[in-house]
Amino acid sequence: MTNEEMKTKIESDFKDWILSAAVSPQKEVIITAKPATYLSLCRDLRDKNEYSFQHLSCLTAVDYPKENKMTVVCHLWSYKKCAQLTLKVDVDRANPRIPTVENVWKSANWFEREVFDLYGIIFEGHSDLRRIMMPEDYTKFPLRKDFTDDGFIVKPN
Amino acid sequence: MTDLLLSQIKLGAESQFGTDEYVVNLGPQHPATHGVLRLIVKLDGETVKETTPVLGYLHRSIEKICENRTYPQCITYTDRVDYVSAMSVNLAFALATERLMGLEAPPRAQWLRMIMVELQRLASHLLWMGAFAGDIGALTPFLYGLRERERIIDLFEMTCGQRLTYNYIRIGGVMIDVLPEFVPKCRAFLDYFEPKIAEYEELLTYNPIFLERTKGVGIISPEVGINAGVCGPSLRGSGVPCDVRKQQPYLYYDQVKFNECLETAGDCWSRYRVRMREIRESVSILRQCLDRLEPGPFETKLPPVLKAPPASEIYSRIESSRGEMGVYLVGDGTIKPWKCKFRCASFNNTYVLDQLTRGWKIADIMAVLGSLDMIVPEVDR
Repeated sequence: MTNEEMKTKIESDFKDWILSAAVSPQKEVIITAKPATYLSLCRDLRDKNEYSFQHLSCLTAVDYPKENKMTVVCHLWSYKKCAQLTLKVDVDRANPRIPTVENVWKSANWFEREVFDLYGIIFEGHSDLRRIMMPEDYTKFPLRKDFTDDGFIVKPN
Repeated sequence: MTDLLLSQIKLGAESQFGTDEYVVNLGPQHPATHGVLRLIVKLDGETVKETTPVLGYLHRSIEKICENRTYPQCITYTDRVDYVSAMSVNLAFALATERLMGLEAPPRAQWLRMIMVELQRLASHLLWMGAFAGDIGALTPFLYGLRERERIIDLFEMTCGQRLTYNYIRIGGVMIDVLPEFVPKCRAFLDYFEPKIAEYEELLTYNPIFLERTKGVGIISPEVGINAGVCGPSLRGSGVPCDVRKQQPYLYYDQVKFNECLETAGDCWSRYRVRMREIRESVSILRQCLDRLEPGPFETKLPPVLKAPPASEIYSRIESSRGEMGVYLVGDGTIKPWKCKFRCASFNNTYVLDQLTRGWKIADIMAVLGSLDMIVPEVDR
């Protein structure tokens, strides 16, 4: 299955569940999910035989303060089909909440803890949502773009 | 008298001396945790009930630093992500940046990169072998492993002047061409090194004590392993073909012949076998690369200022010494990455530690931890 074929297939299979699907200039298939159907989309992508994205390679987030949103990005890999997929879902920056995918891929447990720690996104239903890198009494979210701290100096261009 | 005492003890064990759970803290400074990793272990007698890794003692926020540096400056930081296998991380970042900007390194640079990364894999696996054997009580392999690793480090030092953090693989090529005597020296090293592998195997592989400590211990089933994100040699020990070099070839890995090493049992011993066989495969890859290395430019002409296209992104994966290494970059049209994420194999391999050690004895934690080949700077970044 080429990238274009996969994009069209996902577009037709999950028409109501996704906002957009595209092949990037870097030749990656990128789909954006609706927050309400994000969890069921993940489960289907893992379980359906023609996709079998059983491996959550990476889960992280990107901060876009200008658009007032944060994006949770999942990179999936299918060992059976040798295919890669980027799955995105946008969350509101003021109230960042999204269901956890821990029950779909176990590896999401620590990935989501890290995103919670560094971006402050709350994963609803997560079994163990604690800080993982920063000290437990830390109050800021370091990877947000508006982060300031005494020891943190942004170098001028 | 003795009989009476024994019967009393027996009676006591049944009636009043019930076992109780207790908690042992391992680390953060413990020689067997390979860095500053802290494990909180809940025990019943000697049996492990639960292992909770506590991370963050080595968190240097490399990802935040990279967001505030230009792309070429970031390469220096990637060395520190995994200092035991610095070349691999250099390569992961350089490849991701090149794919983001549509650049391509010339053939000589690609072959040189492959040589360096495979040499690095040898060095990393040798250090792992020594440390793993050391963890479960055999100290000699550590000396053997470091003896040969020293020679590899000498080759690196001859090429780029560094012994640990090389900063050698750059965007668009490599830092500098190798010296003319590099190729013969590398060949000489391979000839010297190949018989030594049998020597390590003689020391460890069928050693009864080693077998007792590793065979059947800490089994990962393929389904659990895939779902928990385990990758690299640790997952290949369970029989899942997951080598990125085969599945999504980068550099010229599709042009060299090598086997993907698989074992089926999924225990510590299988993971050990996979890595030992990978050492042999790396030697074979290295010989093929040296044969095909031809003169030519070692770097491509880069634009004076490296800028990523606006709203571009890339997720690029390589097979580092420890497993799948991914770099996620988001470009915003400036000279700095908007987002830079390192997906490291050790992070996921440490996550699975709790599941692997439950029900085993406390001494087995060391065997399992060693067999997963985790490096703490890579976990914490």
